[in-house]
Amino acid sequence: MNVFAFFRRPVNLALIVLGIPIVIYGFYVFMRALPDFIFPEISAEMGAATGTLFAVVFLVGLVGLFQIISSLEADRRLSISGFSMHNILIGRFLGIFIISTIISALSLGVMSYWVLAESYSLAFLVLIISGFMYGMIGVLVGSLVPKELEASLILIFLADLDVFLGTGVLDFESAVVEYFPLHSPSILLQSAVLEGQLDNSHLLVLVVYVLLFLYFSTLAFKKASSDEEGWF
Amino acid sequence: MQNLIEVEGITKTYSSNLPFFGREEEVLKGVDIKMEGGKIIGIVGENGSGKSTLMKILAGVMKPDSGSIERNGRIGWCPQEKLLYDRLTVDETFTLFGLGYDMERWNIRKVEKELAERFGFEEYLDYQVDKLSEGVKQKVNLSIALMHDPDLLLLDEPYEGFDWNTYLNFWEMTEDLIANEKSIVVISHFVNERERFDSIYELEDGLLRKEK
Repeated sequence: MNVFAFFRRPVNLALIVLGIPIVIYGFYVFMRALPDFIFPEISAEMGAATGTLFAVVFLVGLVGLFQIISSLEADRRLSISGFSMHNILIGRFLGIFIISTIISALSLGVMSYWVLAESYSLAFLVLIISGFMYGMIGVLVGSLVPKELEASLILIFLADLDVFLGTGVLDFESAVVEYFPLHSPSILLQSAVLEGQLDNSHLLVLVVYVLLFLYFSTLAFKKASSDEEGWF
Repeated sequence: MQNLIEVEGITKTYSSNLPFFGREEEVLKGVDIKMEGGKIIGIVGENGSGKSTLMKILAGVMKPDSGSIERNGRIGWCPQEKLLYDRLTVDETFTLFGLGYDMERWNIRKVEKELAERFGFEEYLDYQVDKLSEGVKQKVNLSIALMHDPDLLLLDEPYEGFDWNTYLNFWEMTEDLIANEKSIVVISHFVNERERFDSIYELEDGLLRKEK
């Protein structure tokens, strides 16, 4: 029912139909416009891959966020009908995973209009997992900051910064950059699209991040669902 | 006869999780209440007196800071806010909550039809909740609390937005429930038709005081 509810929102459909192509094309054009002599390693194909990643994580992140913010009170009511909050949360995670799969497939399809991937299966895998990771981040942010405007601004800022650092446009070496959630997914997706392979070490990092965010989002949701006072 | 609910010494204070933010407010300072079957009681109080807080604690969606609660029977809670899922249809809402109440699907459909006919929202069963008027939403809100035949019904401002016929149907329903040894707690800013209630309590300064 989470998945049906998501696709019934006109704004969500608009984001999918219009937002995905605009974002991917925007990144494609932006990276293509960068001068070769300054950014020799940046290509339009990398732009399209980055835009695809951003479209997926941003949309799924918002799904995770608003599933918590808009439904937490109704979830509390549902929990006294017999569904435990534990089961409700598992249902939400499953819904986020399914939505991540659907949006990843659509985004990859749109990306193909401009760039053909060397390995669609690997690219699809990276997108689904990255989207799910950001869905967990959305749940975490929504549980900690249960206010629509503030929480969505935090998520948007994080996703923008995260994906921008992953483009490699700013070539600065810093350990901090490597700790951002989309550092490994960016590298993985680019190698899946451009080379048809994945670096196992970065894949392991991505899986670890997913598990970490799954753990912290579960804790935050548990706290938010049992505590009405809030943080503010 | 065993009490359906027994509450002793309930306290609740609202405060922010962050230091120096927000203010601390003690809304319940030691509330006691017991309810046996076949009774209807009203709880009144001013805005912000803690009525909804007490109701949430009785329903089990909020934990008290201290005190004890013993529930013996099925609880049906109709909150003041219409806590429903906006993007589900009325049909889907009944199915979801019904499955939570461990009802068989055929029984969910049967009860849904009965309640829809009783409260007059049969034509809206395939409407999404966010497309309903406030009055119809409240009818669905109340019906979800009733669908599993609860022993104790906790109603927070239940007839807000009701038309006159639905209001009369509501009281007719309460008479049927009381006759079947169910109990009802109604929270309201003020209680009309005081003779319908076995007892009326006022929540004031965090304590429950019996008026009638």
